Amino acid sequence: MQWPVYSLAEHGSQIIRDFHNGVPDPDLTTPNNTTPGGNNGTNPNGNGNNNGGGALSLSAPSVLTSAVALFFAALVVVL
Amino acid sequence: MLAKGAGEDVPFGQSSPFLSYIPSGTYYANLTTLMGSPDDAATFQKNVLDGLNTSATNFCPSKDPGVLEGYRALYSVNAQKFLNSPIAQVELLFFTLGNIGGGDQQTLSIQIALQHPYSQGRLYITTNDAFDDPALDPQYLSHSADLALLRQGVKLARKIAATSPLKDVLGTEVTPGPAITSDDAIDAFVANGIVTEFHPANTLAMLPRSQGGVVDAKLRVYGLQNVRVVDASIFPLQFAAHVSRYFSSRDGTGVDFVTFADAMARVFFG
Repeated sequence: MQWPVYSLAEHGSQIIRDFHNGVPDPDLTTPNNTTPGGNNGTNPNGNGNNNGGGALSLSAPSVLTSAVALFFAALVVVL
Repeated sequence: MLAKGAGEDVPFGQSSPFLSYIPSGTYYANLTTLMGSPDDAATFQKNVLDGLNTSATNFCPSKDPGVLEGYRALYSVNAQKFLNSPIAQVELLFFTLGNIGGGDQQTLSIQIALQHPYSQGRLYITTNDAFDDPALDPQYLSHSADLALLRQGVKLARKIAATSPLKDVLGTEVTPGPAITSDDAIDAFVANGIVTEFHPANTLAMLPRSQGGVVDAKLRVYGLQNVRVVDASIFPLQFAAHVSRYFSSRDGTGVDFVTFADAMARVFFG
C-alpha cells in the first residue's frame, strides 16, 4: 500500500481487541452512563440497540473517534 | 470535527476542507499546504506550466492537431485554474486499518489520494464488436507532477503523525517505515503501491469538437443526432469529489449534474 500506516499504542490497541472479543472495557462499564435510556454498558454485543446506547457499545468506536479528533488536532497544529 | 460526508462538493473542487466519517477523518490539502509555502507552490505551478506543451505532446496519443490542442486545454485548465488555488490537490484520509500482517497490533492509516492527476489514461477499442470490452490503460504516474504531489502528501501525512497530540497515541510507523526518507525512496514506495480509488471518468470528454471533444456543451455526441451522454465519462478532468455526487442531488446536498455541466462548459467552451 502506498500510504503511511502506524501502529496504535498498546492501550488503544488492547481496547479494540477487547471490543472485538466482547470483553467489557472496565473504564466504560461503570453504572453512571447518562445516555438517555442507557444502562450500565454491559451489553456484550456492543450494539446498544436494546438499552439506549450502552457504554460498551461505544468503547472501541470511542477510541477510534478520539484518534480522529487527535488527527484533526495535530493537523491544526501543522497548519 | 464535522460529521459530514463528502456531500459538500461544489463544481471543480470541494468547499469543506475538513470532513469526517466516524471513525475516519478527511482533509483536503491545497498546493500551498503540500509544498509548505506560497513561493514553493508558485514554483511548482510554474514548472508544470513550463512543461505544458511537452506534456500535451508526450501524452496525446494522436497526431491530430485538434486533439493535441485539446490536451493542451486540459493541462492548461488543470495547471492554471486548479493547481495553485484553494482547491485540493491531495486528499488525506485517516482511518483504521485493523491488525495488518497477521499480528494483533491495531493500526491507523493516513491514505493519500491524488485529486487532479496530470497523467492521462487511454481507452482503446479492441474489436469491431460493440459488446467487447475496451482496453484501458490508466498510465498511472506517467506525469512527474503526480508523483511529486503524492510525495508531498506522504510528507504531510508523516508530519501530522509526528505531531502531538496524535503522535502520543501512535506506536511505530509500519509503512513506509523509518528507513524511507529520501525523495527517491518515497517515490519508489508510492509507485510500488499505488492503487485506484475507483472514480472512473473522463473517457468522453466534453470539449469543443475542434479540440477532439466527444460531447458538446449540451452533452450531445458530435456527429450523431439525439444522443447525449450523461455520466462521469464527459468530465474532461478529475475533480476533488466523488463522481457520484454529481448524480445524486435529490437529497439537496449534491450538485445538480446539468448545473455542473453548464459550469464545466463555461470553462472549456468559453
